[in-house]
Formats: sequence, C-alpha cells, structure tokens
Amino acid sequence: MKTRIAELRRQQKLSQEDLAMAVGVTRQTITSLEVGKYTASLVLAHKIARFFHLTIEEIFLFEEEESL
Amino acid sequence: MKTLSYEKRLNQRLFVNIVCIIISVILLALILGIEKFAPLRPMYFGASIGLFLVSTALFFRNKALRKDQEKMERLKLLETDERNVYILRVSYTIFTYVSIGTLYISMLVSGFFSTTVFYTLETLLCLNLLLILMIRRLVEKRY
Repeated sequence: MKTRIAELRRQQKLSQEDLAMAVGVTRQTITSLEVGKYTASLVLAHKIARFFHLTIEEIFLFEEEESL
Repeated sequence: MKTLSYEKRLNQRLFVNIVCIIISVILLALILGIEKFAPLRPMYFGASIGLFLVSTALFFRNKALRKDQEKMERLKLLETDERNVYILRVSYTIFTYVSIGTLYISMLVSGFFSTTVFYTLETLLCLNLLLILMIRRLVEKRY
C-alpha cells in the first residue's frame, strides 16, 4: 500500500526514529510502511493519522485491486 | 481482544521458568537417584541439564529486566511491534507446514528400515494434525 508517511515526515523534519517512538513501533516498521512492504493495522494507521492531524485516507492511499 | 500487560507477561514467564527449573531438578534427581533408570542416564541427563541451564538463564534475564525499566521498554517495543508480531506469525505458520512435511517424508523413508519408527512417526503426525485442528477451534472461539 502506498503511503504519504515519508513525505509528511520530511515536511515536519522528523526522523523515522522520532515517528516510530511517537506511535510505539520500531524504526524498521516505519521504513517498511514508507516503502510499501508492510500494511499497517487499523490501530497503527489511526495512531499515525492522529500524529499528523490528518485522516487515515489522507495518509494511506488504498487501491481497489490491492489484496488484503 | 484481551491483551496482557508486558509486566504481567514477564511475571508469567518467570513462573514458567521456575516450573521448568523444578521439572529439570526432579528429572535429574530421578535419573541420578534411582538405579533402575541408569541405562537412560546419558539421554535424560543431557536433556534435564539443558532445560535447567536455559530456564535458569532466562529466569535471571527476566528478573533483571523487571528492575531495568529502560531495557524492559526496549524489549517490550521489539516484542509488541506489530510488524515483528506479523513476521513471527508468518514464520510460525511456515514452520508448521515445513515440520509437518518433514515428519511425513521421515515417516515414508523410515518405513523402509523400521516399522516401529514408521508407526511412531505416523502416530506423531496424526497427533500433530489433531492438535492443529483443536487449537484452531479454540482460537476461533476466542475471536
């Protein structure tokens, strides 16, 4: 799944480690989310959205053909 | 979904460590103390010493973790990180398929050499499959 995490993180001048600590995951999880290798759970997606003061849809770009 | 706090989980692990230490000591006492079990000593001595050493090491590690808040938080993050949990689940699933497959192949190969080993592995395989079904039913009820 494509995300805007990297873009938003750079806008706010945050490191992956900062974001990881803020949402309670490891830096590797943030890396995987940014490159689209891992799809976040609803809980994590919610935490990230809340951190950036945006909605889940504005950060996580769901494509219809994606398998769950 | 009901989740345990990490501190509670650590306490549970400490309890399991203590139970394993007690089991290994009982096993050692039985093997070394009763002459009837003398032929089994080489096998059971190694197994019980191994269990004792691993359980003791884990017991002290878990006990030390409870005192060191920073270390505990770091380990908690690593263990509860959702990607790590996902990786662990996928690994366990693959491991289950591979071990069942290995058991099945071992059973077929062993049949050429020993019927006892063949029937033992066959029983073990059936037991494993039955256990998987039972565990699945239990987990289904929980969610």
